[in-house]
Amino acid sequence: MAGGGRVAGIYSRHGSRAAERVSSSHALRPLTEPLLIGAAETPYLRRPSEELRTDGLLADAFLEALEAAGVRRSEVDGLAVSSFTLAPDTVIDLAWKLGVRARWIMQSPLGGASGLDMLQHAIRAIESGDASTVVILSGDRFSKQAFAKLVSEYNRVTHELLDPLPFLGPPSVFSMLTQRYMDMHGLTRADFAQIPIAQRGWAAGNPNAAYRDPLTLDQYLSAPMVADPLCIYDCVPVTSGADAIVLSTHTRPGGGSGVRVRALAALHNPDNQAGDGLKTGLAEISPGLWQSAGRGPAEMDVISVYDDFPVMVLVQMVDLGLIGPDQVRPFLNEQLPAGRPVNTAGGMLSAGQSGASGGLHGIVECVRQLQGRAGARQVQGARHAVVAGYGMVLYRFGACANAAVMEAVA
Amino acid sequence: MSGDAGASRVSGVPAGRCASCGRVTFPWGLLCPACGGREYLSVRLSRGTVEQTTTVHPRDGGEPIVLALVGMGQAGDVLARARGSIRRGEEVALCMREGRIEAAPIGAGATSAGAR
Repeated sequence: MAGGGRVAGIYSRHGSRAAERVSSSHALRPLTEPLLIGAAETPYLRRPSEELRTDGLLADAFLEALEAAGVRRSEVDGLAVSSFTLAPDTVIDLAWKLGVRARWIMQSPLGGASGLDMLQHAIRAIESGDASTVVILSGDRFSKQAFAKLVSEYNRVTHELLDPLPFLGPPSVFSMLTQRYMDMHGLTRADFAQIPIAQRGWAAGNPNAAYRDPLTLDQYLSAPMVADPLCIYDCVPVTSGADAIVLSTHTRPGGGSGVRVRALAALHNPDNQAGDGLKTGLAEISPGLWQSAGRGPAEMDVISVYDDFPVMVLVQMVDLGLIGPDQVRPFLNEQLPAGRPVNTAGGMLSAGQSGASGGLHGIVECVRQLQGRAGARQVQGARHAVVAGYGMVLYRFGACANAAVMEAVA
Repeated sequence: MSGDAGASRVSGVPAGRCASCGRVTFPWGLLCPACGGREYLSVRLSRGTVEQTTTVHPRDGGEPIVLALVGMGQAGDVLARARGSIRRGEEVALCMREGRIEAAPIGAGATSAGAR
């Protein structure tokens, strides 16, 4: 896919948009190109200490990201955050506590899609001159009680229809989707096991992951069930932690190299929860995304897809054209064991799910990979990456989906 | 809620029928997904077909719970607590019991009320 082009409704650096703005009027300056220049992730903790708070975790990620980017706090003029446990504080409290003077500010409630949601808006803010250096944060510190409250009051429908069953959290909903997917593709639990096993292999190279020991097929098949066919290794461990990325007009001496967002698109609530949940909004936006990016699925060196449950990894891989609908089995049993770089920080299944941090986790990993800063798990020569976000179960399945194609700036 | 479980049992799952086009929606929202109508009439859906079931194991080691995804035709799917033995493909009766949606073998729902 060479060239690329502009597709309505999809962000693209490689359509004719920037040039159009210049040629159509001398008064308009060319759109600034925002670059991701730093990324950070705190350790994901299974048992956070008593004194650890959500805002403190966000501050840790904020400082680490600034250092990674070589940016001073005084240069930050845009701030975004996503968190389930920051309340009653909001992004403006956070700006105050971090000492950020913000010309642009936002908060995303979109969970697993929040990272790309905030990035989508931050790119436009920098392009249009509303801000020059934006820090995007997400994170949560969960107590047992805080997590139970989130599960029970996720939205009004959950509280009224699912909580009274009781449904005992997302695994019951995703067990239904997994069963359906297994039937559709003739897959067994041993096939599905390849996802947590492969991701655990990657997690060994991520010092911040909650679980880093190798996982065997025997361990997986004899593990306690959560909601059949899902066992404990199919369900993300709840952790506390935070993530951050820095988006700016230029790189800094001593900071990370630039990562360009070639294209980004979103489609939320594509079917009013009327479908079978095994197709996301990504399926619809995928062709335009690749066209806008001027790159194709085969060119992606690193892939991050939202892995709240293994079935959604497969759904997103197919929706984005990263595997064909008839390649699910070889993907699981050949490509993953051979090391195809999918969720190279271990994904949430091994690293942990720190609430809204799940929405940034994949972006942070791709930025680090494209900057050559992924340590022991570095994919050699990584130049292109695709990140997908997914989430917000309204009743039977997630309603939000977005994706971005990224490229290391030479 | 009284101590008598039978007293809080109501047949059917509450759904909305669009006053303009008749489309039945569950759970219903604000505007009809088909025609955009604002007004809903309350209806109850009392039958469905089991699409999937799962046994959920509480993390605290409590008694496992069986849940069923039950298809209600055009109105969509409902997640229900299974009462008694129900199987995939089986037609089941839906009811509200003590504030929760239940699916039971047809004919068993009313008679087993208060049985546990």
